[in-house]
Amino acid sequence: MVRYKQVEEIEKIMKNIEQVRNIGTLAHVDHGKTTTSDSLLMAAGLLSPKVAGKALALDYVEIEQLRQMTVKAANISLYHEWRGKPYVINLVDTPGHVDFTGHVTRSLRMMDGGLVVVDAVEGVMTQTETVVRQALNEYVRPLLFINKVDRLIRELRLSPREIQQRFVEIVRDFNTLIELYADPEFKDKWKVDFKKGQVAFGSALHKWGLTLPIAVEKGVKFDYIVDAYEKGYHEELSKDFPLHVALLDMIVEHVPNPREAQKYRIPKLWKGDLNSELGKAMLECDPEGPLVIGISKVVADPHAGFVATGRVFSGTVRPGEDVWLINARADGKILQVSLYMGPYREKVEEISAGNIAAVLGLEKARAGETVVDIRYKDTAVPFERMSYISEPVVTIAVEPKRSSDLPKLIDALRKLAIEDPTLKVYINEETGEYLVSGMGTLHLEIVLWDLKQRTGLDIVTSQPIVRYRETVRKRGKVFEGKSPNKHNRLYIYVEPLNEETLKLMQEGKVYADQDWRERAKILREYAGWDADEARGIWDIDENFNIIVNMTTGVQYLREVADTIVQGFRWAMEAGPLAQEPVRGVKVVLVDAQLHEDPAHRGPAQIMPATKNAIFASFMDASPTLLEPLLKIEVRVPQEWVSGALSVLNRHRCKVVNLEQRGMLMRVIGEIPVSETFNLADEMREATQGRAFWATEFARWAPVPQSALNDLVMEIRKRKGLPPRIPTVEDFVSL
Amino acid sequence: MIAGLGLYGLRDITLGALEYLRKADRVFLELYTSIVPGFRVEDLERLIGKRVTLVRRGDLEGPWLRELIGMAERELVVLLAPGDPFIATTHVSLRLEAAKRGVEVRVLPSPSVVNAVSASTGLDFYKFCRPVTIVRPSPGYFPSTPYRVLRENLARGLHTLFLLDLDVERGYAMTASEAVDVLLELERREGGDVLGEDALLVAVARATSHDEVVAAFTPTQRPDLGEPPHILVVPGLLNAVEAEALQTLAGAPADLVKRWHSKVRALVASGPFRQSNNDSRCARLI
Repeated sequence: MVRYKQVEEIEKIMKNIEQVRNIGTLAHVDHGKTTTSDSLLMAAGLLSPKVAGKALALDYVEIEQLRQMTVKAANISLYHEWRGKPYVINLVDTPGHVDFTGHVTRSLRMMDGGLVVVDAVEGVMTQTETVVRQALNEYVRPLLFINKVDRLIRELRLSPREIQQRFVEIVRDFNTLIELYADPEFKDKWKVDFKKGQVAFGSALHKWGLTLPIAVEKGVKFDYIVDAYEKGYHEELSKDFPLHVALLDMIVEHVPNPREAQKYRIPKLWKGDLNSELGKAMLECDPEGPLVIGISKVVADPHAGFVATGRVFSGTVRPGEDVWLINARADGKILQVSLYMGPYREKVEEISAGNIAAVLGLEKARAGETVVDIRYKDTAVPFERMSYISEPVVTIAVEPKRSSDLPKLIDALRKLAIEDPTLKVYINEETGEYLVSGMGTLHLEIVLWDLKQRTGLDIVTSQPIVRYRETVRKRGKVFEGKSPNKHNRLYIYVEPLNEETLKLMQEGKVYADQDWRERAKILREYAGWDADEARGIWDIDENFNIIVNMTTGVQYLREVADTIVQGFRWAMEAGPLAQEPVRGVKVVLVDAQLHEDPAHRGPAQIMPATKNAIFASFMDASPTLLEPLLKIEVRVPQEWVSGALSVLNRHRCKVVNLEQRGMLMRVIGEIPVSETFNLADEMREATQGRAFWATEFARWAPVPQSALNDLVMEIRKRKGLPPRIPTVEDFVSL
Repeated sequence: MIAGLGLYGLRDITLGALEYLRKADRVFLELYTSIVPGFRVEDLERLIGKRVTLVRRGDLEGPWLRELIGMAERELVVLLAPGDPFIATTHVSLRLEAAKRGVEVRVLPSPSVVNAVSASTGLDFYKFCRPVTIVRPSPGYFPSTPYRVLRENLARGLHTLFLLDLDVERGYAMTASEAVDVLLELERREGGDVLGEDALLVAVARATSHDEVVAAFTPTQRPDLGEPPHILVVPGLLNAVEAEALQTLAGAPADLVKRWHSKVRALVASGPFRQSNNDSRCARLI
């Protein structure tokens, strides 16, 4: 059952950082992440007696509520005793689906170890690979929990020998991932070993689990477990071998404590100077150092306002402290500090480095923000540039069934967008529709579910619409863009950015407000940029477009540089083909003539001049649409594979790999998002429901040339644009 | 035909322009480049006996321009603009576009604040240097040109005429006081020290109209000038006539004029133009 502890007791443990662990559960969809987290909360979740009083009185109801809370909680604290010492284990919330890439990175930053849950039957799957890779990128140590062992016994009827064989395969696959993706320093150190108790196995559903050392200690063999299921006394297993003991023993022993972890993680995750005062304090996880908090999640609480949850990397956070939000470029005051008791927040006086804290008062904080002591305002470097790498690919329109409920819906949408920065909410100015863009259909389904939960409204949604991108395939000629008053002339050409540059931007290695020397050096070395061009970068927008100034000696150019950048951003927001966002384009300003008087070269003159020149060159540069492709992985028994393949073929899916995995065939391919809306039904029909499959965002790819024209016209029609693709002349005339 | 409306009411419409307005097949009027106190479209329509169509910036700077020129190919079209149509506005593009299409354009000039400023303040026309507009700062656009022009002009000992930003279509017109604020902010950003407590500034409100106000003041003591349009002048070196005119016409205290004059003299003496008489655009005016 849950552990009733006084807040003071927990505070005491938290101050002793060796007795703290920060972890999270990671998994492929449906492999049992939620069940595992739930069972940990139920068995080891902390509760203060205050809340517990209610819990006892209401018992079952309260537990149901607890479970629901876990869905939304940013962190759940667990209590575990190991070798006679008490430990607080923070179970940081991770997103339910890999669609939320930015979210994943942020939660990973909070934790030092990740419990990777793998379905014993399905084994290591695409998203397992993704989460392990992401964890290793963030220097989070992955540990393995082989879940759903009951399925091996009851469904596949494997013998104890075969079960062990299966475990060996999964561990091998898992270690292959570590070999592939871990930093050389950790490749060997972080591989998991059955004998050392770095792998747990069991059933989250039936709440039992073991590691090899525990099994040896208790003298239990597989035969016993198989027997328990076959004879139907498997309920006993949870009493003899409780899951949380296996998992938490493993975690306490093999996940480093925050101080140990920050020693090697800070140099990798934080770009600032390690010899600075901040750098040193974070390396040491020093509670006396300057305050640094990395915010992983912001939740709108109906009573408290926005609750920001994050990890204290150095210093001690206390109410009343003045802080600086690096990305928001704003100051703030911490009004309240809480620790997590289970899923609940409990007000405390202070929380020290290495722990997870919830703070109130930072209205401008968003997930991904770095909060520092205000005295380090000018020198502090954030963990993450707020670049919003997310590229929403699907949009739906939402409205309440009763139009009088609209304000309620808008309010909920606004809050959701704050909590989830990968979500974009906006109004179509022409139709007045509320549009929500997300990372995939599943992401939007979750958002809608959440929206309905929160508002209790009946919500009507449109068919999902795929968001395309516009880009160019060759260099366009230089075109003159005139301002409306004709007194300003800008000369611009566009060309595609190379793959290397796009990759650098996606990885956050090249970004807008970077030191220009550093950026120029990276672009020259890794993306083959010309030195002058690399130094001439004025701006980089969210959709990975770059504007470069290559002019020399243009009078007044400095005064209008910002306005030209605004014009560039305006043009990139909605391209000339179908007003979809532009992606991967380099805009080069080669010359300009500007009016003597500032009144005649204001934004209203310069922005259209910029846009006209860009669009003219764009239309000359072999423009096209990019569509989002998903990586799809299908596992299907051999006899149904042809059915699955024919469904995929019908939907423009390019199969890149087909291989036998045990009794299953594993198909890997790339499929356009636009082809996936009815895939579930068709796949079920073609394989009698025997195929299981998953998708994740792969990349943007040009649409087939033969389909380009029709697609552009279709989008233009939907948006109410003139049914004609613009030409160069539309932007250079007059 | 492009004609000016002048500075006040219907007063400045020339007889020549009136003749054309009465003959015209169509009359268009733009009022976005300046404010004309006392002017009402109904009065004009009554005067010339026909409808007058108001055009906006978006029309004259957009594709409608072609339609206008198209009309002028067949009919007599008059476009009226405040002040003088070719001073500080950009109707020259209209003229060039028409010339390209072989449409003849006649221009009828009118009084502008640029010539009125000498009348109102007594500052010598020959001693004005480059004029510049002070624009209302907006996010991403805060040009420093006005302040730089002021410094260059003062280094030559010459007067600076500041035209003040306006956005008639959004109901905005900058006052002289706001203009001084912008200049002070620019001085702070550029690190200058010209506009101290004893800087001599001259503002003209509603130039040449019956309620014209001409006032000399300093950055710290600003007079109430009433409704726009305003203009602002920062005088350079002052000759005896000018010094007297500022005292008489603008109420400038004698000691302020004197102190400012010696400050400008010091600026000229230390500046890059102290010996040259002919090496720059404005040098011949010295």
